[in-house]
Amino acid sequence: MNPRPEPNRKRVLVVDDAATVRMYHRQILEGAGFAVDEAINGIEGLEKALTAPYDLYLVDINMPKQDGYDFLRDLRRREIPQAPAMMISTEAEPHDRRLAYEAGANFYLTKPIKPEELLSHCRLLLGLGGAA
Amino acid sequence: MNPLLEQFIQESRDFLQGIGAKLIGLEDAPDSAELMTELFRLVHTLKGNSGLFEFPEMTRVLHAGEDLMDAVRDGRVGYSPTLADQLLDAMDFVALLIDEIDQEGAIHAEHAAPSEELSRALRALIPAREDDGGEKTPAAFSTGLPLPEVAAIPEERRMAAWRAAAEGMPLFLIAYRPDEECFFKGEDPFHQARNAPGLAWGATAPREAWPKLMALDCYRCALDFQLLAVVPREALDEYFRYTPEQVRVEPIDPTRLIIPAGHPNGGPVYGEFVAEALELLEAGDREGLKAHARALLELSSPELWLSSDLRWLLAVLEARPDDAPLQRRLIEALNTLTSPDLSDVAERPAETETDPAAGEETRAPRFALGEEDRARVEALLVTQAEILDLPDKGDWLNGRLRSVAATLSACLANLGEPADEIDEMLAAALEAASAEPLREWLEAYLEGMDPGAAEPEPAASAGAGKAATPSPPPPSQAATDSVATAPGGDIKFGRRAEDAMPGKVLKVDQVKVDRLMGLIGEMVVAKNSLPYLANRAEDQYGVRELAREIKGQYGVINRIAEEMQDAIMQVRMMPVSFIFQRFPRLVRDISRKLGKEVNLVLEGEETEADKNIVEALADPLIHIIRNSLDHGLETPEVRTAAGKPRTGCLLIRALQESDRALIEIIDDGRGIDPEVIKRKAYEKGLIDEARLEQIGDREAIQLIFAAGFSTAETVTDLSGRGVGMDVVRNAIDQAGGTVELSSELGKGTTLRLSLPLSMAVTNVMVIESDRQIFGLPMDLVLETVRLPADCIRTIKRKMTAVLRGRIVPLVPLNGLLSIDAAPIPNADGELAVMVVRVGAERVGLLVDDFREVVDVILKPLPGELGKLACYAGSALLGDGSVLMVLNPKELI
Amino acid sequence: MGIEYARNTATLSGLVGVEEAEGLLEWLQNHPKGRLDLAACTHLHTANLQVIMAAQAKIAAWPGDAELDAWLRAAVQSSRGE
Repeated sequence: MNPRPEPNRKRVLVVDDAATVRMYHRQILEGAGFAVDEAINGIEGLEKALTAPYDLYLVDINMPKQDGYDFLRDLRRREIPQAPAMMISTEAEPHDRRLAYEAGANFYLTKPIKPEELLSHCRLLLGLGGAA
Repeated sequence: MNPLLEQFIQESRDFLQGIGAKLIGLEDAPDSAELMTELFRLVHTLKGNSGLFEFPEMTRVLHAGEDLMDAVRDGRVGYSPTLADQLLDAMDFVALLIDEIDQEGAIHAEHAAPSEELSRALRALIPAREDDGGEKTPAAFSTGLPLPEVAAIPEERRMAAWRAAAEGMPLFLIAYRPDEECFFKGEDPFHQARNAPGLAWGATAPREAWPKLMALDCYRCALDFQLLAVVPREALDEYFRYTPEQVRVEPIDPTRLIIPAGHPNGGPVYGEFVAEALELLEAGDREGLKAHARALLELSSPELWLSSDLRWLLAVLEARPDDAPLQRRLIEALNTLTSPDLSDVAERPAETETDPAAGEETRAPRFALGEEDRARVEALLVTQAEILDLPDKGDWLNGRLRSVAATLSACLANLGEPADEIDEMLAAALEAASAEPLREWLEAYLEGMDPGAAEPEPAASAGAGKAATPSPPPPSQAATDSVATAPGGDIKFGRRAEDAMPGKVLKVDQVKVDRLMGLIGEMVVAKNSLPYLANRAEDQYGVRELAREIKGQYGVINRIAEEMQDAIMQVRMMPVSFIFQRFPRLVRDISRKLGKEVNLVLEGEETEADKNIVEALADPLIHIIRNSLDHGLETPEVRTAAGKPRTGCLLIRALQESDRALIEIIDDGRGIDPEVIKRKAYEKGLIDEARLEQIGDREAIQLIFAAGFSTAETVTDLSGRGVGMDVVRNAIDQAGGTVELSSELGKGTTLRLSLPLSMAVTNVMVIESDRQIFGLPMDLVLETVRLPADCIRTIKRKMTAVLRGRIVPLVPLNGLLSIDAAPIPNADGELAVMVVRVGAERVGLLVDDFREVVDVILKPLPGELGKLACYAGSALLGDGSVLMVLNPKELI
Repeated sequence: MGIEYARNTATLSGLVGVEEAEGLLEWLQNHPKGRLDLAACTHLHTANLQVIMAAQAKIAAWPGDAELDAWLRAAVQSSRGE
């Protein structure tokens, strides 16, 4: 009954320390047929990305051990396929955006995010067209 | 996983096990009240838990189970093996949902239907209570709901939906009958309907005829909703998952949307058009066919059936260029002016995928982007530009560039465009360890993006003048130009990026701005009462000090009010590029049709004016351009023979001059022959013989603005439609503007439109005549002069005076208003003369005295008075009196 | 945001919630010629919508929100037609 993960499904990594948030993203993205993995901080995120690169990264800023900026910089240093990354944070200052972009994010969404908005941006960043 | 959810899952499993055990126990002891109570408690608690999450499928079944248990508990239903089977089935279903939540974190929308079925089966076991009257089950099954009638959907909605469907999106008709009691559950069906995914159209109607208003129960939902949506099926299922029983969703074939409609009135015979169109279709010349259809469409009233059919034809040519059979039907339909039978050219009904996940992947590259998503893609692109603008530093620069390239490729894929160039640019960028190659490419790309899709941008046309050839404007030229002027480019990108960010730019309803505008207008008038108050304080109460203070305060308020007014006006300003951008295409199409060669030059597109003014300019300008191309510019042969360059030139220039926007339309065509105009005007009875004799050349050419004048030797199908320059003049007049025409035979024609930058507050000069005061719009007042009586000369019984080396006719205002009184000179024996502009003429109005200049909100005169053309309207003054504002154009 | 009642005009603005429906109905019952100003209204709860439709209320100003405007015009029209 459940769509099984297929080899050609788009893979998304959610890097966030809050379980609720990971849960929330997972629900939305899996509901749309994506394969979702989670990491609770940047270190775990990088480990997973190095094992098998993802098609899209959703990254929180404030995380214990390693924050989102450091994670992105580390990610962008590696010789792996560089997929788009979207920073997701409660901070809405232009300064935060700039830091995110400098570190290697490709877009920035401010929480709270409506499921439709999140899904649409993910689809667009994956080149899948907009409609969910 | 969410600990709360984890807890829920674990507890639910325990409960399910308990429920199962109790049910088995009841098999042996069906009368055990204890078991029954325990069973009820378990189901009830489980239902309550599930309600904490968004698991409606689960909650619905458990709710029905709880109600059934309740009925069993208080003896309305006897316990039976059938009942137990039913409950066990339901609990198996709940267990399955729990497993899914455990594995996937969510319940799939496809469970909505079985959940609905199960709860219905459970409820079927509950006999209706006599006392509760209201039906628990919906009155009608959703499959019986009447679907919307496609023909009743407005054409533009149908067309938009069709376009999206042509891109491969499934299309659905939806009927939605909300539960009558739904308001009490916190539902708002109207909101639900308005926000349905992929909504292309929606309407609502009462289920039954309305009762008398006194008998209306406003908290019982009496409305049905009908929707048209372009969206994958699963999105609809997901959206309506809480109320599947109230919704009927039926896929329809997009071709069913193609229903030309309108007045069947034919006018000319279109047989020729049909024959030519079919030839073009046969030859596979789609561009030619498009141009052909567009030309006829431009000439036809949009309400005609013909126009509707043409619009569909163009839409099909655009979205389904290879569907020749469909195009043919639409062309042939013009012969009969009846809807074509498209049933056999219809494609299979919109893909009703059985496997959503697979379907989504395979269809990926060809999605129709909604408006919102288009804007999002634009925001993504602009953000990448911003990223590429960052300093090239850090040892992760390469990765960053690669991620930008990946994002850009995704954006292009969304737009259905190839991304080959990006790989090239990325390679170059990585080679140079610099964002520059990608940055340049993206900047050029953004510059060339379809301007219709984005808001018109003042900063986009940075250069003072940009020449555009009749062929589609090459974006790269303009783009590289503005890149070269680096600082401008930087600022622009900064600004655009800000624009794209939510929270930086507000989209405000025009109504709200209009309201502000109205309020500031009232404030401007209200503040004008302060000088009166100051005068009264001084004259009536003799408190000079206070009078001075009031005047001081007035100055402050006045300044703030003016700045505020200015700020609000700025909000409404938009660049004329908004309308100019259509011209290259228009000129190209028309000149091609006429076999003329024209070089169109646009200047000053960044000039801004009030939105209303800019919008009011569009139609007159299009008409003027048509006229220029049709009557003004010659064919290449004629031009060559006359020793002119083969290609004609049409210059459209906008500029701001103090508080007015000027638009000049200049062509180097054959010019207007005053003799021809005079003769025509005489033939048409527009002037009499006497006037024919004395009329000057300059004056004669103005006759083309007279109503019912058409100069073309032969009526061409472009502008010889009985719509003449008089319409242009009227439209410009209405916007508070003026038109000036000058022409030199053989050299060309110049039209000069002068328009106010804004139209809300009018600057009025107050004058006095025969002890009454009147207002005159300041924009028409050229100067005020006091003339000694002996400077006035009478020529042919008409009073004139020489002012600044020009003879100006003088007219007493009293005479114009049929007031029998002579102008009163001042103590020095001087007469007050106000020189006003009437068309291209100057006229001196003799009045008694000048007063102050005030800002007023001009209101049209009500009712019958409105027909008095000599008044432009009335305005309320600060002291509460009413000022009649004159309209010199009509007066003189 | 809600409904402001003046002598002959009720002005609906912003999001008009379900709780306003009863008042609106009452006002329209007492002011059969009352007119509605919807210019600043962005959404109204179904309950209000059906009151307006059932009363065939005169509209002094249509919503500035283009989508809502389209819904309402069609709705009021369909109510008058039946």
